Amino acid sequence: MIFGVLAWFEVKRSFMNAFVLAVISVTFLKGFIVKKRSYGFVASIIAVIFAFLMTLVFLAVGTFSYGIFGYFALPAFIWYRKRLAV
Amino acid sequence: MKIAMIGNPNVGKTALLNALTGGNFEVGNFPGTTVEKKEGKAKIDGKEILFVDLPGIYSLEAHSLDEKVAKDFLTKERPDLILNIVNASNLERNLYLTLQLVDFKIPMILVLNMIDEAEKRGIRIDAERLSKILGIPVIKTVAVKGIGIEELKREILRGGKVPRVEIEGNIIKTAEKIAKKVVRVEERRIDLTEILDDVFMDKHLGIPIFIAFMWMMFTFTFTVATPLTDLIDSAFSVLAEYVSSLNGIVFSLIGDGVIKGVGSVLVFLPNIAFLFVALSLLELSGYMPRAVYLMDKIMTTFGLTGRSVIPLIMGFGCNVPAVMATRSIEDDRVRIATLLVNPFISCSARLPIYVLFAGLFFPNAKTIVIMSLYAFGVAIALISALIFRKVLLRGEAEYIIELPPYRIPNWRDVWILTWNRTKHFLQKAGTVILGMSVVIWFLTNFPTSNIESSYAGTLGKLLQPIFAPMGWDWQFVLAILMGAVAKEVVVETLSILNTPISQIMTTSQALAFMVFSLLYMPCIATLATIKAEAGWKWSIFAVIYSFTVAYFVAFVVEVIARLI
Repeated sequence: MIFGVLAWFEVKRSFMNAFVLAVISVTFLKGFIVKKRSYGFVASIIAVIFAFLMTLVFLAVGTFSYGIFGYFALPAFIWYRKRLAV
Repeated sequence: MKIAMIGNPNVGKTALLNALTGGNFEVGNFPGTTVEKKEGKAKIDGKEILFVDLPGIYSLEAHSLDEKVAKDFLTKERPDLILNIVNASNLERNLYLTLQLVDFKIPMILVLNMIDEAEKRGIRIDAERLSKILGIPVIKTVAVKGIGIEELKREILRGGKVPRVEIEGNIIKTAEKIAKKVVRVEERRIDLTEILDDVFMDKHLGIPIFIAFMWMMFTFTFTVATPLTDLIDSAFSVLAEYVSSLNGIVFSLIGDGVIKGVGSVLVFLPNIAFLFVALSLLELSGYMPRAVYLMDKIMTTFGLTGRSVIPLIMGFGCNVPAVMATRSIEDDRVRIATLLVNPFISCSARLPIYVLFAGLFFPNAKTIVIMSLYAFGVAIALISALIFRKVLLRGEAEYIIELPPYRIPNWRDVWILTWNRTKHFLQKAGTVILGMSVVIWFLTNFPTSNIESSYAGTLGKLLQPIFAPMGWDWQFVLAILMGAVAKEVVVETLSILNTPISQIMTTSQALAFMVFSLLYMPCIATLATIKAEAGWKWSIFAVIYSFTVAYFVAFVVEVIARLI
């Protein structure tokens, strides 16, 4: 849900960044529908990587992206990692 | 003492070579990284040993060029010892090659590499029993972590043993029987590879995730690297200005020629290094072959096979090793088709052209324009492959695609891979590009220092009518001509000529110029490799075909872009 909203906010700034946020959102959603934790795990990995990248972009050129809020997925990543015992 | 290192693709042979010799050879996490033999020397207890890392092969039946390389080495060079490296997670399939090696009657040691991954997957191997069955020493190793290397060194000094194993029926059945005797699979927890593949290979999400990763890679390459490119740009500008302000022709050559020319290319070093870091991470993590698998249906539609994809991916770095990587393709028609379309894959040398033109003409959509150019190159490569396979290289082809496990990339391997590739770019800057800067400076300063009437001006104006349909000024035509040596020289030429690009070119012409630079003829080094791998006929064909395609497509792009 959060990533869907972020994608909506981002679409006017950068279509492709919004696309990445939408992919994260849909991946979480599919995991919820098919009841498989692997989707949430992968979605949270992508979200954290994307947040890190957007932080680097902000530091390099000062451009803000809502992708920075991808760090919100960090607790989810830890939770899934424990549950999946990877 | 000469030791041959032989095994299936992607079992960690090069990582083992690095561990034994302290070398810095490139490793990958996909089959086919090594396509020619590599040599590394080491001293073990004062004894000088030459290790020869042979290309990864599944058998010695010599269907493909790399199988032939390995077989020829064993028969003609007769090494003193064979290190047969096997993937501990897939013993049965690896034993097929092991049993074929028995016929050579050369002392052998079996290396059970990546034992940690096998154990994580619940696979237990009775090494002692395996050693008794095969009659040779068996050592467990994890090459990337240096585990088992000392024991292996001790065993190497003992010289190994000539294998004595009875083949019951055929080799496949014997391998199966041996594996059954020594491998035990325990109840295991879910594997990381299975978890990730669930999602990355999902039929609906696989491709969107791939596109998302590609976008992230390009953002990292072009946006994050910006402060570094700006810094290098300022440094070279100040230096060139200072040197050329000093009186004398030598200072003009150094300032306006060498520093300005080489600097105009070195400015893009951060972009190139960042691209290589991202590519290395994707390759070493094991994600790349998944991308290949996702694209497999598309590849088959265009007459290529899964095996063609690795050379195509390698082409994003440099087309020279990519053309060489086609050796692992068994079917000769597919190999030639893959090799011919490879120069359409945008190598790092073309990146400075895109960054320069996209930055000037599409400042707000720089990344998406460059990403589209990369995708466009792939599309042209696939369409060309289809044409070749339907017209010149007809016939069906079969293949096997192997997916390696996911691994967290080792920073040392990322560094080696990135450094080796970036080093190649720096070497080019210090040789070809430096030499070309002197040539271009000479052409622009003689017989008169007025550029319009210099050799460069005369040559550019002479050739300009050929490109008149695209509306490019003579400076761009000259840049294209010089760029045939190495694509980086295009930017270098424009810089030495002091071309006011945005003033004498329209957006549609710039787009057509980028497309032409992407597609027109392979550089000299790639051409030489195509000649070596496929012969004169195909290298001449590659030049004519790519130039024709580039000319036609650039013209169409210019017309359409102008109308829009």
